[in-house]
Amino acid sequence: MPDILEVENLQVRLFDRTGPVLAVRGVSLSVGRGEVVALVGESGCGKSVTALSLLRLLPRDAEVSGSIRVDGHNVLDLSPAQIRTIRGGDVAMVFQEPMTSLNPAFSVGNQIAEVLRLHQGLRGAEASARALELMRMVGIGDAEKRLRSFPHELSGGMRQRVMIAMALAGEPKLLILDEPTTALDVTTQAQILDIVRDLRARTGMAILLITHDLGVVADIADRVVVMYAGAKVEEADVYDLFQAPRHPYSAGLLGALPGSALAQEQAGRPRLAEIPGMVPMLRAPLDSCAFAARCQSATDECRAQAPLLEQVGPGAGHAVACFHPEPATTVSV
Amino acid sequence: MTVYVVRRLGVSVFTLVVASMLVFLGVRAVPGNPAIALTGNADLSPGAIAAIERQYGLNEPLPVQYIDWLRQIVTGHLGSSPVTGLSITSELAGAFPITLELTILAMLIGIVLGVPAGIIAAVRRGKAADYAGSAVALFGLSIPSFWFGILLILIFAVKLHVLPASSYVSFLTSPASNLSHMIMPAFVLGTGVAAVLMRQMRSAMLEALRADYVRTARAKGLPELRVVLKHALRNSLVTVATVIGLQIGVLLSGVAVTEDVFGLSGVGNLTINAVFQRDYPTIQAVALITAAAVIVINFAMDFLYAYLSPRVRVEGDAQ
Amino acid sequence: MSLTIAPDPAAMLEVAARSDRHWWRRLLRRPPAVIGLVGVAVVAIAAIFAPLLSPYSPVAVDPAHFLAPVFSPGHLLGTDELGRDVLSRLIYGAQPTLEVGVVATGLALVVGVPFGLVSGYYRGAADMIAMRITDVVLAFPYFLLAVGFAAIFGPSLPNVVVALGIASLPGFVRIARAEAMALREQDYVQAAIVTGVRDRVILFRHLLPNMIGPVLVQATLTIPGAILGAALLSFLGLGERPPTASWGTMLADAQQHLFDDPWLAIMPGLAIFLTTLCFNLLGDGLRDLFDPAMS
Repeated sequence: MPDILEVENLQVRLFDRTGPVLAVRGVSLSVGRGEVVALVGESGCGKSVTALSLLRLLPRDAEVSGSIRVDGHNVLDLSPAQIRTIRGGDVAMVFQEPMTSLNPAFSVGNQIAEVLRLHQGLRGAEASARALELMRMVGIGDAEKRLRSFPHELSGGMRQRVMIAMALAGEPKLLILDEPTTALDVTTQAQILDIVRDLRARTGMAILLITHDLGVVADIADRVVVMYAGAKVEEADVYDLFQAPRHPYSAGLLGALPGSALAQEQAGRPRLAEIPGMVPMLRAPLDSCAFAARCQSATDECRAQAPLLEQVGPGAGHAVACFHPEPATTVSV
Repeated sequence: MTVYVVRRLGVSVFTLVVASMLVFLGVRAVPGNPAIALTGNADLSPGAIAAIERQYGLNEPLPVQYIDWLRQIVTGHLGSSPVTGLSITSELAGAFPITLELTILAMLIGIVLGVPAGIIAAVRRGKAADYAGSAVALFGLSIPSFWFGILLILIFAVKLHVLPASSYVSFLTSPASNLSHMIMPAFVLGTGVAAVLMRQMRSAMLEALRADYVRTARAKGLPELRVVLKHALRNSLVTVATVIGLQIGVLLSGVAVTEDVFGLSGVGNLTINAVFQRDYPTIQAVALITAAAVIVINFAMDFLYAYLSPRVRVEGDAQ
Repeated sequence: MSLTIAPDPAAMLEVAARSDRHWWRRLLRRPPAVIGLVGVAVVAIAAIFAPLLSPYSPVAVDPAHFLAPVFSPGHLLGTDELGRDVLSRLIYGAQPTLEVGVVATGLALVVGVPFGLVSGYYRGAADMIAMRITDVVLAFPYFLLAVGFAAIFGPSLPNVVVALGIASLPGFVRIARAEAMALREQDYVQAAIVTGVRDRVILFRHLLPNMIGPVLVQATLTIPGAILGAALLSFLGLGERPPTASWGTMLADAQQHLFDDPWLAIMPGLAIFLTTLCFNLLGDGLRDLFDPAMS
């Protein structure tokens, strides 16, 4: 059986008012059945664009190439009708902004039942009963009353629970969570993550978690993919990445994590947050390492050609795109 | 919703009261003796003026006169026209159905043409259908209704002889004849309404189609038609309902001139004749009724807005 | 973990200023807007230089030619039932047309924008009062206002201007109010409020200059409405009195001759239509510049 999600050499070109933007540059990644993969990077690194392209939700003028296989079917080749059976069915998605992602004009029960009618063929009372069940699953108290509530009557955390219930309604094999906790306060973030962890244990569905917050990743993911400026710079088992990040960018991300062992270890070094600059927006292909401008260990080589992704140790399946990877020493925890 | 509707009702009543005061004071603002203004007769003897002043209570303080006037109107006594001597109530009763039919037909044509055109243009943004629809709407917005009416008369009545140029036949007398008389004026007005609705609908839909909840609806796997007609349209209608109120005055002004062009003896024509005959009581009655009609329509729009927008429906929060 | 570095506000302002300086050039890259601009310029030139451009006086009667057809010798667009040259009357007709459109709109702008500004900035009681006033204004269609003024003061062009100015008020109040409400929440305005900058300075130095774009768009789209309204009222005889040439009155006179000389009705209507169309094209172009999402 193929992996639930196999992405190969994904390239996405978007167009803004001033011209094309290379949002995703040759990203490959896979999510096994029941696996939790985290896609990590700063805002603007292309991780959300990657997520949207998986369900062909990008603007009409976006140019997407490469291959995206969901359960073996190439998403880019499917007819509109076929892609609709995958959207909300095999693959469900939860977005970053719970305040605006629900339709203000319809009750939450209506919006959940819509998925049940579409993908489960449930009608009327059956659909309501199942919607109630789903709302209870995601920890919404007083679900009978909430079923008739409108989005504006709910808190951000409650709305995100509704979004998750809506995603679960299609009984997906893969759940894509695009920054599900970014817009929420810390306590609510923890609750939402607990729900996700619990659901994963109960349903065995695979999860692709998109986040800029490595703190979230450590708790929940099996494997981590780090993106920078539209490209994958490192991929590793979550344990390996936290123990020994090989890309300076990943190391910087971890170093910026307050209270982490690495942060203490690196106390003498400048944290990434203090390195001036932002993720560059690329309008043309790059013939250097995209991170070179912000990198402490960058050399002329880094500025002359782009590093390719290569397998490195210590763990299996650990790959990094860097000419001068960080040493593989294990940090004592 | 109740809170909101009651509040809007209060506002509407307040507006109506202020509007009626303005209408009342308007006639008092006519230069010269109000008795002359009210009768339209400049050659009255002092005795006759005194008699009229007594009849209309013109020697009473203004607030008392206003209350008396209001009481008469509320009880349906609009008085008689000093020019024609006819009862204003019965004149209006004859003219009102024509204007009402014209307005309703125009609204229907406007909605049927304008709303779908706006939706299609927004969905097909930047494509041929959008450009064509937007261009037609721009023409519809720019064309003077009375000239458009004259052009239609020239083509269909003068050249082709397929439709009557003017006059009115009651729908009850002959539905077919009524509609053949009303189709041109209603179309003239309806295209104007359609142009406005199309543009409003298009921009509201463009905004809705960009919203996060539309992306959510697509991510659910809903067919595009349902994404557009359920998720985006519902929210666009809220926006459109709020701007319609601003357009009613323009529509009713258009109704008046269209009646003139097509020789329909509706309220608009009645008013124009009254102006040139200095028939102040009739003008006063028409002004008050028109203002009341606009206020009622605006209240209905508020109601629709409240119904379409759950935030207002549930919490009574208008802002 | 805050990795994103906040964009430099000075740099952003510079970008905004630079794009502002080029808005003319961006407007000129849009063919419909250019057509509109040219059309408006043509009408303006006709209005200003009417005495130089028109072959005859607009009120001169040529007793030898009543209802001369189009392309008659000496009368390119023919004459009307009194033997007046149609081309000359069309050229002179641009004067009241532009005058009413611009003055009525200017009136509504000058009164409506401060109203909306104050109501959106202070909200509360000021907002309540402004909204109730616009409710009352909205209750009277411009036709009714013009009828009222004509009944009280007799038909005249100033009546038409005032009626249309009043009827156009709510649009400007709405725009200025919405902009003031939005701008009030901006950080720089909030900062000004917190640091005790006087209200007058905030209103006129910070809010007003920042709503020029939307107000300008509203004005450009109000002018054609006012032109149509003025033509309608003149057509009904509520505006300028004969023998003054205006497109509305020309059309009204032409109605008598629909059967024998339809061109008499077609030409002034076409003039009104093209003028409003050009203003609308220009207004749409400006709106798209300030709000590109709607184009």
